[in-house]
Amino acid sequence: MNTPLHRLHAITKSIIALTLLALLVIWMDYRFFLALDLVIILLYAVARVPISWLKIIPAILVTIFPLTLLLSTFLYSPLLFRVYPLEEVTRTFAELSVPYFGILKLTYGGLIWTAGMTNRFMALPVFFLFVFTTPVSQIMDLLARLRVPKGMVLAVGAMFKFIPLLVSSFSTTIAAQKLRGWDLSTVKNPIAKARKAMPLLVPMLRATSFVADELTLAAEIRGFGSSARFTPITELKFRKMDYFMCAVFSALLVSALVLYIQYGAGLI
Amino acid sequence: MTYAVEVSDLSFQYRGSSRPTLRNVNLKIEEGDIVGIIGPTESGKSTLLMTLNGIVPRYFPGDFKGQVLVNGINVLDHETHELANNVGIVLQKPDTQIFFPTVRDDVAFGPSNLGTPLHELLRRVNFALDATRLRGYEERDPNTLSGGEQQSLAIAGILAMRPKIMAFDEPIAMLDPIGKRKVLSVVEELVKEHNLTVIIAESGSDIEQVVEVTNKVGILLDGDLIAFGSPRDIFTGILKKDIQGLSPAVAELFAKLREHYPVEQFPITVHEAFELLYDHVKTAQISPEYGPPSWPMEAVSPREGRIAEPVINVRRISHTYPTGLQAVKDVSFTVTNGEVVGLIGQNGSGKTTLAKHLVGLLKPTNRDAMIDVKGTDVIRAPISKIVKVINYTFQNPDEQLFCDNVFEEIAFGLRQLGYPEAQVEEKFQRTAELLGLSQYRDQVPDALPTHIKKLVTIASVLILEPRILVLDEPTTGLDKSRIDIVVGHLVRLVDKSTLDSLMIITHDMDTVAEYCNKLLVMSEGRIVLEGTPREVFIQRDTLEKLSITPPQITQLASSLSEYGIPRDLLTVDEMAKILEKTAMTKR
Repeated sequence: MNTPLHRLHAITKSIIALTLLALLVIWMDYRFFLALDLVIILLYAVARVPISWLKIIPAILVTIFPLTLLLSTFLYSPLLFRVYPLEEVTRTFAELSVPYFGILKLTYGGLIWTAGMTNRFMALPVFFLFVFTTPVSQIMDLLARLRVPKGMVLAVGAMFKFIPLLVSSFSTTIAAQKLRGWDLSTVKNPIAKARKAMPLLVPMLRATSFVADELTLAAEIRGFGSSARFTPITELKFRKMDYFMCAVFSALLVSALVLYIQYGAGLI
Repeated sequence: MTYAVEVSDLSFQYRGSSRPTLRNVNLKIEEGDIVGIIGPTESGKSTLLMTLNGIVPRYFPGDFKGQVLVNGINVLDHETHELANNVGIVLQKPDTQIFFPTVRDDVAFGPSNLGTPLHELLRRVNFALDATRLRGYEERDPNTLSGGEQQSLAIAGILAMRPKIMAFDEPIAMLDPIGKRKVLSVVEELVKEHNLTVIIAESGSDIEQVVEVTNKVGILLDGDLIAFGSPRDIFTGILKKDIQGLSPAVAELFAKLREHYPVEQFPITVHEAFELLYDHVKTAQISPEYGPPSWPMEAVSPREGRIAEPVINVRRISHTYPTGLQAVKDVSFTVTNGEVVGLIGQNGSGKTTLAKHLVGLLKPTNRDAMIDVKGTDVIRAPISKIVKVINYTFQNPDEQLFCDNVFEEIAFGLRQLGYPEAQVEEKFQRTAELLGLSQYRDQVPDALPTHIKKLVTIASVLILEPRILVLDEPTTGLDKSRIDIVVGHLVRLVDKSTLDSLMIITHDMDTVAEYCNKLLVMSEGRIVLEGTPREVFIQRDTLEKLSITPPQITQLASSLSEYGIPRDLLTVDEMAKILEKTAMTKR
């Protein structure tokens, strides 16, 4: 893959990713974060990150959204809102008195807050964007330049190998146990379900330990543990586009922070 | 004289183990040697290799006695990474030795760790890529390489560190025939071109290919190095002592024939055997009655006394993975009662994908496919019903065993399906007896030898009383005698009609020659050859195109066929019987 984003230096991509993540955190107002989402989607499309990677998102939303919505029913105090008019944010759609908890209210402000919090799932596409467009060797190189300890740098590298190996082993275990009559789908009770997962857990733990041992052994054989400084094979150079993107995203981050601190831009 | 490797009085016992893994091993390997360390599974080969760079006893502690010198350096005086420039070890499984998403990055990993300056690093990477014939693959994702290429990449990763000695722990055991050939030719070239010293551990199932490249072999039995020297001397010696299963088939043939064809040294290659037999066979009168077309030999005879009825009927299966890879293309075949089917072909030819359809783990991606197993529509039936008709065992027992004892492990399936305890006990006893596992009832599966673990996994599905069993690579990691135990047990179940049929997915041609009476050869998602092993293994041209090498005996028979030797012989016994007859005729 050789998209414009792939061609950028790892440091540039880190700056882009960090800017996007920071803005996702501070921008709770949908008028701001929808624009940001658009930028993320655009970058995602330019980098040609597989759409299939996003399959996990519905599961995350299904988990996050109801919890956030529930939490928002506690947030009806006008003091929590700085930008939106008080009469708007305190507009109540439903109200419930719960013993011990007090009054819970579903308000317009609570819904805006829920939207802002839920939108933070967009951090995941940003992470995918970075991982997909940055080879592991560049990530390791970047970490090494940031003076991250060598063991940790190599652990990050090995993780990219470790996880797929485990996933493959785990799928085999599931298939093997199914062929012995094991079926988790029929059990509804969560405790019974956890107990019934034993046929997966033991082989999974064994596989984790085996793969970790094998990878450690293979790394050791290849000189891992030497006190010498790791030599990255790729010598990345900053190009014009890197300077340009770094300038654009740094400016965006700085101005967003200034506006946020000074005028509450992005707040609700 | 300084040897490349000098092992003196080496004994090692793993912490917690009840017996030593290595016992008083003495070994001297000269620079430029290619040494095969041959021994059955769990005989101490890997441990011996791992002492060469101090992984044993540094990472696997235990009682270490004796001395290991590598290029004159005592390995215990140095850390493993300090020895990386002296000894490189290539492990059995390529996938756990590859770390990076591109070939080039992965090859560079070793020298990068050692802080090699960039210009030297690039030089070494290029050298390793050239030596392993991976030039042009620099930017490839290792996951997209074939098994042989992945192992070549693992070799390149070690080679880039410029070790003087390279040790290979069963480097071709998990590879398909093309992969085996590729890796061994790379090894041979490394020694020729770069004067490396090479040590290869081998448990016996790939012995013929390995000894073709070695100039010395050592035989390791139960931790004892019982012999070390030139391959012909060593194999002649051990066969005369009646140690079977660790020698090339042609050497075993001459051991059987030693009364009729006395030779000083047994041959180890087909060519050598041909040279020794040529003069005799040329002048012998070989009667057509000695050989095919009707050639009823015990080991591979069709199961007689049964009405041949189809038990598996597969029509027009195709399977395309979500990635777009079409792994199986319009495959149809039938298996009848009593057939032991060998499913062979290169990695990626579609064998496992096809076999998983037979038990419902995968569904065809075309609509007009049909899979009928003993009247069960496998495409639509629930898996709980399928597993009682046909079942499947995976290659690695560790990926499914989880119970505290063998009884619980084997009984698990029945309990899941709600069988009463009395019936569970009864069926356990019957299954354990069938596979010779009764004595292991209370033992922890984890602590059992690999071949017994494999039998436990087989028993854990056999207890559901399927009529057909599919075994995925049952021979991987096992030596000949243990293969005979595992596969032999199951073939006998077909003989006794406890099973209607058995399907074995394998790269081991000796096993299919010995045990199967039908072969399905797959290539690029299709079945390209189908027939008995005799019918398949004589199709030299087609097999050559598919890079499948027939058993050594079939190759020898084929080379002698113009002198009347039947060209479809499969086993040492078959060839020995004919040659004995011709020897007697001559007298």
